[in-house]
Amino acid sequence: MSVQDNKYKYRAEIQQMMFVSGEVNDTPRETTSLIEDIVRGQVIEILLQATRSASSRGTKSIAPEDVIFLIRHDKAKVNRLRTYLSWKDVRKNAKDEGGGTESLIEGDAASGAAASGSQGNDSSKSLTKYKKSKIRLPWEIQFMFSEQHLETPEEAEQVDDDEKAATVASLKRLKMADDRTKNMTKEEYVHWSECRQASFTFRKAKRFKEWAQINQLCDSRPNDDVIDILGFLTFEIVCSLTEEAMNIKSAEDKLIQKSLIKEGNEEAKRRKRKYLFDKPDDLAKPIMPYHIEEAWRRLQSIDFKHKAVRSFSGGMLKSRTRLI
Amino acid sequence: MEKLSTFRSNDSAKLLHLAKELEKTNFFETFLNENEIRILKSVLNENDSDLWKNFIEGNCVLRINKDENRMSMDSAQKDDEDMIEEGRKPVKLLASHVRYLLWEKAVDYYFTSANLDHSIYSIEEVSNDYSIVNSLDNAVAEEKTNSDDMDGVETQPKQPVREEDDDYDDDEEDEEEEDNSADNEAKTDSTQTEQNIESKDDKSCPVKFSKNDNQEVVIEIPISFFRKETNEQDNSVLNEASTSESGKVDMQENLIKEFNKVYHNFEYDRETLIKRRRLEKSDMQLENSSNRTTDGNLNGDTTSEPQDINNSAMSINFGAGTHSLQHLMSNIQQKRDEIPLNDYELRTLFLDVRKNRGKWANDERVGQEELYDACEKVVLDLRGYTEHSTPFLNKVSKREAPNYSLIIKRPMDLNTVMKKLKGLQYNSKKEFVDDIMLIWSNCLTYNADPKHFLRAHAIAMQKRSLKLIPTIPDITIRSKAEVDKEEELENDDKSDSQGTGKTSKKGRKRTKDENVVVKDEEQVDSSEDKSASQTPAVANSKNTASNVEEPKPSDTTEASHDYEEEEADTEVRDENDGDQEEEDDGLDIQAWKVLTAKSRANYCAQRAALFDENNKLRSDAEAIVRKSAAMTNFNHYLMNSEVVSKTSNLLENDEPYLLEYDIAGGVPGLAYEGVDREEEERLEQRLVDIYLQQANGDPSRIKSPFALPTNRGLNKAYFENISEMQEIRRICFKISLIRQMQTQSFVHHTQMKPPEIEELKEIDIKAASNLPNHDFYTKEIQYSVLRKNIAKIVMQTGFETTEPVAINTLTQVAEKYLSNLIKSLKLHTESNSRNKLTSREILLLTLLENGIEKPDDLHTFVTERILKQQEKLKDLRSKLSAFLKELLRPGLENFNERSFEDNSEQFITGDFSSDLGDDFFGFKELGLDKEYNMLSSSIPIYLLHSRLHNRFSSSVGSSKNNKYEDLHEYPTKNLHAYDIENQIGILRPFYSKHFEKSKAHYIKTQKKKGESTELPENNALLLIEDDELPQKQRNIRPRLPPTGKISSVKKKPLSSAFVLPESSDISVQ
Repeated sequence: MSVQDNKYKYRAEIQQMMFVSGEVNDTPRETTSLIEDIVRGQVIEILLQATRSASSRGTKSIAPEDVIFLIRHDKAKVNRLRTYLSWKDVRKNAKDEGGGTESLIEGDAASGAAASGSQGNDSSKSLTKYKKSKIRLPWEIQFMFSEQHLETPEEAEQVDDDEKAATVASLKRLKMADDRTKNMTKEEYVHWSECRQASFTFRKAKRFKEWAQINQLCDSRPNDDVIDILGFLTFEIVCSLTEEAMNIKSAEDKLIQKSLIKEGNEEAKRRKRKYLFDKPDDLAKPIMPYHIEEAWRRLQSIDFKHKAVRSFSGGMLKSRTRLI
Repeated sequence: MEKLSTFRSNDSAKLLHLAKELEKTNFFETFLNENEIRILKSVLNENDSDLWKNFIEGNCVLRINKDENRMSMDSAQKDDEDMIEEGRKPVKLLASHVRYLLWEKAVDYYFTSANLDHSIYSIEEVSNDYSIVNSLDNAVAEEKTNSDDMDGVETQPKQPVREEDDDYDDDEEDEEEEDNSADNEAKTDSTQTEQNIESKDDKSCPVKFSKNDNQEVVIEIPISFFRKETNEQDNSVLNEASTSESGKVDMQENLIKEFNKVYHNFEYDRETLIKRRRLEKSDMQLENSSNRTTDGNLNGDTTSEPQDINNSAMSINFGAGTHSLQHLMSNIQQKRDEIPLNDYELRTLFLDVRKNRGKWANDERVGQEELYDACEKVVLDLRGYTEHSTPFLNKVSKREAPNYSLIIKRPMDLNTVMKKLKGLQYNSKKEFVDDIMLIWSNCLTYNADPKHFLRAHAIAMQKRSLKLIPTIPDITIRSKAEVDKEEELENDDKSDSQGTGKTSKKGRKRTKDENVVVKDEEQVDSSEDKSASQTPAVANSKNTASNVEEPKPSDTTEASHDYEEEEADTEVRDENDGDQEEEDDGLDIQAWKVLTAKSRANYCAQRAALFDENNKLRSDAEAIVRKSAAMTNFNHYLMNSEVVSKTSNLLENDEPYLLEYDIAGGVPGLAYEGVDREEEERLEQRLVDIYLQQANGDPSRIKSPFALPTNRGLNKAYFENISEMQEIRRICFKISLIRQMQTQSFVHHTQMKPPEIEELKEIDIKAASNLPNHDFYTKEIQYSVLRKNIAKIVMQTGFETTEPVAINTLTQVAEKYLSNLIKSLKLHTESNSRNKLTSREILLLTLLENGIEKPDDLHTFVTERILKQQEKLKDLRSKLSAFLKELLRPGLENFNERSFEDNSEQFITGDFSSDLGDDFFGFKELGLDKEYNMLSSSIPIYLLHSRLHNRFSSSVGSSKNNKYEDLHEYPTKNLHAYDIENQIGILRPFYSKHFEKSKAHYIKTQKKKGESTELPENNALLLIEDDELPQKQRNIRPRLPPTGKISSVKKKPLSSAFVLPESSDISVQ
C-alpha cells in the first residue's frame, strides 16, 4: 500500500476532475490509478515531443509555444489555452499591482469563465487594460513576414476570429457545466465548484515535477508557464477520458437493459417506475478500469486522415501515442 | 489422298508419266546438270517402263562410248568438267536425285491439298504440279495399254524389289572389275556380254540401252553426245548471256525459290567462313594497292579530252558491264518490232541516257568502259567463288613454294589481274583472258602430281572462268584517232541499216552475238598453253567447223597426259571429302552453296563474334539485332511466297535470305512498323500549321486544360493569396529599409535593392504538347503539371522559394495520395460484395477512407484555410502599409520645394533615385504625393535618409514621453553657491565640498582663457555639474547592469568586517 501511495499521488484530484465531468459515483482506486498512469504517460509524451521541437528550434528549454504546437490542430483547445494564459498573465500583473486580486484569482481558476458576475465595474476596467498582452503564436500569419507592424490600441481591442471561436467553445462548455449543475443542491454546487479548481499543478508544482520526472526528461527546468499549460492539459485529459468512459458505460448499460427486456424479465419492466424508498439504482455503477481502457483505446485509434497516405503500400503502420 | 497412291505403291508407270510431264515444263533443268538431264531425257524418250523402272531404282550402269573420236573426247574431258563418270554410282545418284524430285512433288501435293483453303500456300508452281498429279490417274489409265504392250515385248519380267539387295554385292564385284580395266574402256565393253535393246535410231540421241548379266540396264552413251550437247548448251548459254541476262537470272531465282525445299546443315559453314575471310583479306590488300594506282588513273582522266561518245563506232553491245540497263534492254529486245526506231537511234538514245558512266569511262580509249566493266565483273565473280578460288587469290610466296619461280616463268594470280585492270594495262579481251587462264595452267603445271588437291581447285576455276569469259564483249581498245578514221565507214553502215529498216532485230542480234561467241572461244583456246582444239561437233555449228579442221601436232601426246591427269583428279577428289561431297551434290545444292556463300559467311561471322576463343559467350559482344527487312523476309518465308533476296534483285549482289541462319527469325513481326523520323516530322509540321492557324499565329492563345483560369475558382483564390503575400513582402522590405535608415547613419546602396519578386503567371504546358498527336496523359506531362500546382499550394502556404528536391518529394506524396484515392474508388466499384453500394456511397466511403470524413470538410478547408487567410492577408497588408505610411511621415513632413533648394547639393549628387525606380516608396499608392504636393515621385534618397535619421534620433526622447503621458519633464535647476544653505542639512557637506571643486575648476578655466580669476559675486558661482568635470574629478557612480539589478557587493567574511554601531550609521553618511 505504501508503494502505491508513493506511486499514485493524485487520487483525490482525479476524483474531483471526474466528478466535474459527470462521474457522480465513488470511483474505485483501480480506476483512478489507471487514469493517473495514462495521464503520466501523456505528460511524458508531451514533454518528449516538446523537447524535440525545442531542440530543432535550437534551444534546450521548452517554451510554451512548443507545447501549444503539439496540440495546434485542436483549435478549440488552443483557444481556451490562450485565454487561460492571457488570464494568467492578467492575474500575475494584478498580483504585482496588488489589491482586489483575490477575486481575480478565483475567477481565473475556473478557466477564465467566471469573468461575469462577481467582479465590480472597476476591476473589469482594469482587466481590459491588462488584456492587451495577447498571446501570439509564432505560426500565425503575421509572423510569416519579416516585419510586423506596431499594434495600435484600437487593434488590440478588436476581437479576432480565434477569440470568437474560443468564446463560443467556452460558452458551450459553460452550458454543459450548467446542465450538470442544474439539479444540484447548494452544498453539492459548492462541492462541484471546489472540484473545478482541482489541478495537478496548481500550488503543487514540485510534486508534479517529481511525479512526471521532468528533471530526468528535460535538460533544463521548464518554464512556469509550461507547467501551468501541462496542468491545464492534464485536466483536459482526465475530463476527456472520463467523458469517453461515461459514454461507454451508458452504452453498456443500455445493452444490458435491452438484453434484460429481451429475456422477458418482468423486473426490468417494473424497474421503470421508481419509488421513494427503493434501493439505490443497480445501474448506477462507478466507472471501472475496463471502461477507461476502452476509452483509451478509442482515443488512441488512428483516424483515416493519418493513415491514408500509407494505404495500398503494405507494411505496419507505426504511430506515436496520440495526445488526447 | 488416294491420288498419292502412285507414290505409295511406287507405281513406275505413273511415275514415268509424271516425270515426262515435269520434263515438259523444264522442271529438271533447274536441279540437274546438263549431262544428267541429257541422260534423263534419253531415258524418258525411250518411253520404256521397264527401262524406267530399272533406271529409277538405280539398277543401271553408265557406259560412255569413247570409240568415236578418242582425241576429241580427251580434249572434251579436259574442257568440260561436267563429264559424267562411268559406272553405277553416278547413275544411282542421278536416279536417287530424280526420285527425290518426284517424291518431293508428292509432298508438295499433299500439303497443298491439305491446306487448300489457305490461298497463300498455293504457289503458282506447285499448283501447276498439282494439276499434273491430278491428271496422273487418267493419263496412266490410257497409257496402261501402251505399257502393257511394252511389257509384252520385253522378255524380262518386272524385277522384284528384293533383288536389289543382291545387286549390291554384284555391284561391288563389278566395280572391282571395272577398276581392273580402268585403263582401257574399250576392253571392259568387250568383256561384258551385252544384250542390246535397240532404241529408236535417232541421230541426235545415239544412246544405247542394254542389259547385262546382272539384270542391270547398261546405258551406253557416246561421248560426242555430251560434247555436242555441251556445245549447244554453250551456245544457248552464250546467247542468253549476250542478249539478256534475265534468263540466267530467272534460272537463279528459280533455284533460290527452291531453297526452302532443301535441307541444309551447317557443316560447310566453317569452310565457307574461312574462305570468305581470306577473300576479304585479299580484298583489303587489293584496296591498298589500288589506292596507290588511282592517282595515275586520275591523271589520265583529267588529261583526256571530253569527247562525244556518240562518235564511237561501237555496235549496241553493252555487254555484261551495263547492269543498270539490263531490264530495259531485255524488254526492248522482246518488243523490238514495235519500236519505230532503228538500231542507231536506239544506240544514241541509250548513250544519252547513260549519264552515270562507270569508273572505267575514258574518252581517249574507246571501248574501255565496256571491256573493263565486264572484266572486273568476271574477276570479282571468280574471286567470289570461294569454294575454289582461295588458293589463287594472292601470289605464290617463296615460303610456300621455294622452287616456284624456277618452274613457272610468268606467275599470275587474281589479285594481280585486278591490279592490272585498275592500272589499265589490258588493251583487249584477249590479254585479259590470257592472264586468267595463265593462273590455272600455272597451277596445273606446277602441281604435276595428279593427286594434288590444288588441281581440283584449278580445274574447277578453269571451268568457271570458261563459263564466264563469253560474257566479256570482244573489244579491243583503240585510240580515238583510230576510231575517227573509221567514222566514215561506220556512217555507211548506218545508212545501210536505215535502209533495211525494221528488220527483226532478234535474229540479227543473235547472229552477231554468235560471231562474238565464236571469236571468244577462239581466243580462249589459243590462250591456253596446251592449245587444245575445240571439240569437234561437225553438224553443230558451221562457224566452229573451221576450227575443228585445224590439226594440232602436239595434241596427241598432251592429250594422253591430260587424260591421266583427269583420272588422277578424280582420285584426288575422293580424298578431298568436302570437294567430293560437293561433286556429288545435286545442281541445286551446288547452286545453293555458291549463291548463299556470302550470306552464310556473314551469318556465321556474326554468330562467331558472339563467342570468344574458348567458345564462351562474350558478355560485351554486340547483340544480333533483328532487322525489319529480315523480318519481312521471314514472313514471306512462312507464307511460302518467294524470298529471293533482301532486295529481290539478285544482281545487286545481295545475299538471299536463309531461314535456318537467321537467329532472330521466328520472332513475330511487329504489328505496327512505326513511323520513321521524316514522316513524323512532316506530320508534326502539318499539325503545327493547323494549330497556328487556329491560334492566329500565336501559340500561347490556345490553352491546354492544364492551364487553369485565373479569374475564377480556387485557382483565383490561390493567385490572389500569393500576390497578396508578395505585396506584403514588398512593404516589409520598405519598412526594414526605413528602419535601417533610422538607426544607421549610412545605408549602403546594396541594402536598398528591392527584392526581386516575380509576378506569378499561370504557365501552360509546352505548346508542342498541345498538338493533337501528343498525349496529355503521359507521365511526364502529368507529373510536371501536378508539380506546378503543388508548388502553387506551397507558395500559398507562405514559401517564397522551394528546393527542387523538396517540391519533388511533395509531388510524389501527392501523386501517391491521389492514386490511393483512385485505387480505393476502384476497389469499391469492382467489389464483388453483395452489399452493393450506390455510386454516391462509394464516393463518400472513398473520401472517408482517405481522410475526408465528409465532403463538408473540403468546403471547410477552402473557407477556413484559403478564404479566411485571404482576409487575414488583406488585413495585414493594409495594416502594414499604414504602418509604413506612419514611418515615412517624419521624413516627408514640411517637405516642399524649398527643402529641395536647401539641400540642392545632395539632390544633385544623389543619383540613387534612378536606381530605385518610380514610386519606390509607394507615395502614389499611399497618396502622399498629393498630400505633400510633390512634383516628382522620386526623392533623393540621401535627403530622405538624413531626414529620417535625424527625426528618429530626436524623436527617441519624445517617444519616451509618450509612454508616460501625464509626466512632464522636470528641468533641474543649477545650483549656485548661495543655494547651499537652503539645502537639507544632510546634503550640505556634500555641496560645500562640491563648491570647492567648482571654484577650483572655474579658476582653472578662467586662467586658461586669460580672464580674471575672481569669483562671481554674492556667491553666485554656479556649482558645476558632475558631467562637466574633468574625468578624474568626477564622482564614481555605481554601474547598473542591463538587468537593472544592483549586484550586491561581494560579502566579506564577517571576521574581517568592520561593523559600525547602528546609531552612527546615518550621521556618518
